[in-house]
Amino acid sequence: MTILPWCELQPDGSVVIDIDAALYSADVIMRTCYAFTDRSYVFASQDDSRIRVTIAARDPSDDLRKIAGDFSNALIDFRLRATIAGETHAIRELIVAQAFCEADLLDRRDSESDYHTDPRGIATSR
Amino acid sequence: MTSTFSPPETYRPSGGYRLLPFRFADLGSERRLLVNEVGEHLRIRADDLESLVAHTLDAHSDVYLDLKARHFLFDSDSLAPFELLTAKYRTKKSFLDGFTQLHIFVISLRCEHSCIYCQVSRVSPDRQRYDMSAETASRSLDLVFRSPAQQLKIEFQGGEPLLNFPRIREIIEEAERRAAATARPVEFVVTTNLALITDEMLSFFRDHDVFLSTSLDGPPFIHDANRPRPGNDSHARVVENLERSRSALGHDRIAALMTTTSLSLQHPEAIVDEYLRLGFSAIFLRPISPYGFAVRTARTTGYSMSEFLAFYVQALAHILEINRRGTFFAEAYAQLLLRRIFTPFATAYVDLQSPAGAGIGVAVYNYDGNVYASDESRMLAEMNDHRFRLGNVHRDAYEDIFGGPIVRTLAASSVIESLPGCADCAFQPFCGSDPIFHYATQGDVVGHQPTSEFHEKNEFLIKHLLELEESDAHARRIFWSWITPESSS
Amino acid sequence: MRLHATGSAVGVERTLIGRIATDSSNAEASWLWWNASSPPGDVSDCLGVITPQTADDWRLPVPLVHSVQQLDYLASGDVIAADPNGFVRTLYRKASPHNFILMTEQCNSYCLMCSQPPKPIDDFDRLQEHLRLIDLIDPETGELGITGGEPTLFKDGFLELIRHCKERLPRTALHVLTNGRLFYYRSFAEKLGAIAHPDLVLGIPLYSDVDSGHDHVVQAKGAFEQTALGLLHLDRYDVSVEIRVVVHRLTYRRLARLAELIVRNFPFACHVALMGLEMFGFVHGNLEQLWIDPADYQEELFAATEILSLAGMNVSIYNHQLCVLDPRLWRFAKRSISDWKNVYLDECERCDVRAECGGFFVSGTKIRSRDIRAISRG
Repeated sequence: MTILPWCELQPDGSVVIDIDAALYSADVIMRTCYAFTDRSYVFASQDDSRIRVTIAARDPSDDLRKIAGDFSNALIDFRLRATIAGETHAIRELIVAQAFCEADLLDRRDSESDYHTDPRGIATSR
Repeated sequence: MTSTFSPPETYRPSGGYRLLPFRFADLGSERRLLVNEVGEHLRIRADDLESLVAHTLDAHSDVYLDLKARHFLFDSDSLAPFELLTAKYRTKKSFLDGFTQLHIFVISLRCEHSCIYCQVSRVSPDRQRYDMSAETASRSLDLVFRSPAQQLKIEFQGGEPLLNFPRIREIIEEAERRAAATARPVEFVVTTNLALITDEMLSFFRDHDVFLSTSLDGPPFIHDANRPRPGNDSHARVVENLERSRSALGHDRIAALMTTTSLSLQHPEAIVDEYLRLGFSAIFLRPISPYGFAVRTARTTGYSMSEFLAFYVQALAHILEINRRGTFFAEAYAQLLLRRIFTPFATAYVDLQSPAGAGIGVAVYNYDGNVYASDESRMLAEMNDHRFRLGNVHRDAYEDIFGGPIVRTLAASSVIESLPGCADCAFQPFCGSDPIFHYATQGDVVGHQPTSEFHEKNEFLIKHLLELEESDAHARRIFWSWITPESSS
Repeated sequence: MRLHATGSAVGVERTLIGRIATDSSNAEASWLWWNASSPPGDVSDCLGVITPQTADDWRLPVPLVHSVQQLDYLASGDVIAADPNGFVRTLYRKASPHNFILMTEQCNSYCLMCSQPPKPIDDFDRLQEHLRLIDLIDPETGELGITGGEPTLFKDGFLELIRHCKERLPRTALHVLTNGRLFYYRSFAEKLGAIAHPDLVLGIPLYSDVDSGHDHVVQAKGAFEQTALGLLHLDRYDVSVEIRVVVHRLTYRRLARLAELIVRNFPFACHVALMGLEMFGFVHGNLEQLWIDPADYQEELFAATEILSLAGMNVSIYNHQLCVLDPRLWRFAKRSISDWKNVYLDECERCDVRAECGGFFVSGTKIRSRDIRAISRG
């Protein structure tokens, strides 16, 4: 089996990928590992700035090159997801909380104002 | 006071933009499917997704405007995105309103059929102690009417419920009295194999607006092989009594459900055609559950999820063709998924919710007074696993049954927004959870998403429906005809 | 048809609003419409006398407006207002299905295609006139429109008007044209909902699925946000809303996206109206930005209509001639143009579908689609 440049083929047939922990957090790596437990055996260990993921075939007929390749691509997707989640988790929690709560969680003094006072000046004639 | 007009630039955003919550899936060919918190979705190019997250997406581009309109980003302090998302989120979770709406009464375990996949322990027809007593029925109704739901649905199951018809009659009459007193509508459904229905029963059902739900597994060679009874005439009985029932109650008051066995898998078109032939306008294609006799006879009824899905795809294609030729005919599970994907509305189906419907949306009152979180939990009890028994109507208070540790554990472990795998899944707003299924098949209520058959089924079907809707204009129109009432135009 | 005329007033001290009577024995407190060369007899009970005749020699004990041209359609039960300058306005026509109250000429938006351009005047004192008009309208009237300008600028006056309609005209459906922006304030929507008018629909325009597009068309920053929240608030308090879209060069491109926005965010709208441009008011000054031959946006119009219709929403197409519309859209086309401004071309006499077609605006016959033609069903 020809192996992808960033993967190492082990004597026992498993594939090792060393991942820079500064680029991919442990959380991102573990989520990716979890997603691949349906098609392979996965093991992760950490050594200073590297996280080593070992992927072994469940079945002798498994295409480990493909699995390792898919894993590498998935890693990028999971990293992107972490970025999105990081940027949006606060507003997400606010939306969910507000959906279930009658009180005004966001500072919406504006639309709760008296239409006579009309602080936004909506009823201004042209 | 103005008298001149301002150009478009005056109204464009001036700063950058921020992301609103969303998840994405890889569709292959450098395309990504983005899905926001309330199920709105958009297919965009992979490089546009990267630009979006890097905050370099061009604010004048169509994809930017599409993303903004569908609430994937916002670029001003306008309250509109927040208010609209909140309103839509509330709508999607509105199935939680009213808590327990569906109340299943297992009125008798007795049955004269010997269906090969039966999920209750079979007891021959003459053992009276497997019927629900009047006292149990009354106590169960007490609990039903403690529910805060605005509308209630009582469904009679068994065994064969008609073997304890007198109790059904009593319960319906008593429930109607109580419903009138509290001004809450109650709907009644009786699931039955129809073999034993009499004119007296039909008159009663007609007078009380009762719906019937029967089993039809397909043409006789499939139905009778799956559902043996003395005389081996189950299918013939269904056909004859379907006709009688429709005359008495009205054509649309009887629905049918099928169970898929390995034999069924070979004949998707024949099964659909049989439903059509017998005048049904929908079919619910569902895989067999891993409980009761199905587990014990796995060799004859067992098949993998991928085999079921192949069967489903063929059956769906056949159904679409029927619709294309001008006859309305829906597949019920697709209808459910489509409603969740393409409309802002929630669905009431208890087995595809987050948190799961078990124990909160539905409760099962067994003939012996035990209360279970779902039909499946009761089946586990028949296999001597009482893990999901919530209590007993004779001993336990409403608060302990519906607010007790089992209901809480089920709710806490079925919020897919926080479950491993599900938390990152793009299809999360379309999907749900089934903790009892995961417990039965994988050993714990959370389950293992990558190897879960529940996950496999839903991911496959959601993707399949999305692809069909995008690529096939006929399929798109047909799907919409299934999920909305007739427009008045 | 004109809804106003100028005659000569004799003894009209202030604006007088009253019902028309055509028979002097039944004209108490009404304007007697008198079209004879000699003056009417005993009119002392009447509000006044109005005539197309040149009657400068009539001596009557009540106010008189004479030499009134083009109002010969006036009939018993109609309502007019006449002022000291002899200016007569037809406020209500009993036989017409298209009656409306022009609430105000003020507006807080400045739509590029506005057919009733706002005037920077203070006409809040019109409210009393409107309330008086409601008193005189026949309670069997099927539908009454409330238009402007922007009716909600009257704030509590608007609420009072709706309440008055509920009281005096409980069987009359009210259709209010408003930009909905003031319903951004939840309390305003709440108060309108509390009136619980039995048959009230607010027709609210939305011109884009994004704020930048909508705000530009209505020339008001923040309008999209205000209207969107207004729609949510109105639904919260069970006030029926209709969403209206004028289709022109600035709105046609993203029309299908707007339809999707409506389906996902405003599914409670009882109706969506996709409307052709009316060549009036500001349109002429902004023609280059706004004009597009409807024949050139049929694809977008079809896509949008299909999205709304498949989703089970009620959708209509207004102000489009059948010859210009994609035939698949004919079933959505309504005869929507108010009778008093509705015309057909000579060519239409040869058209097989004239009876089903809404025709043209009086103002819309010069700049028109290249596809206008008589259709032969042959």
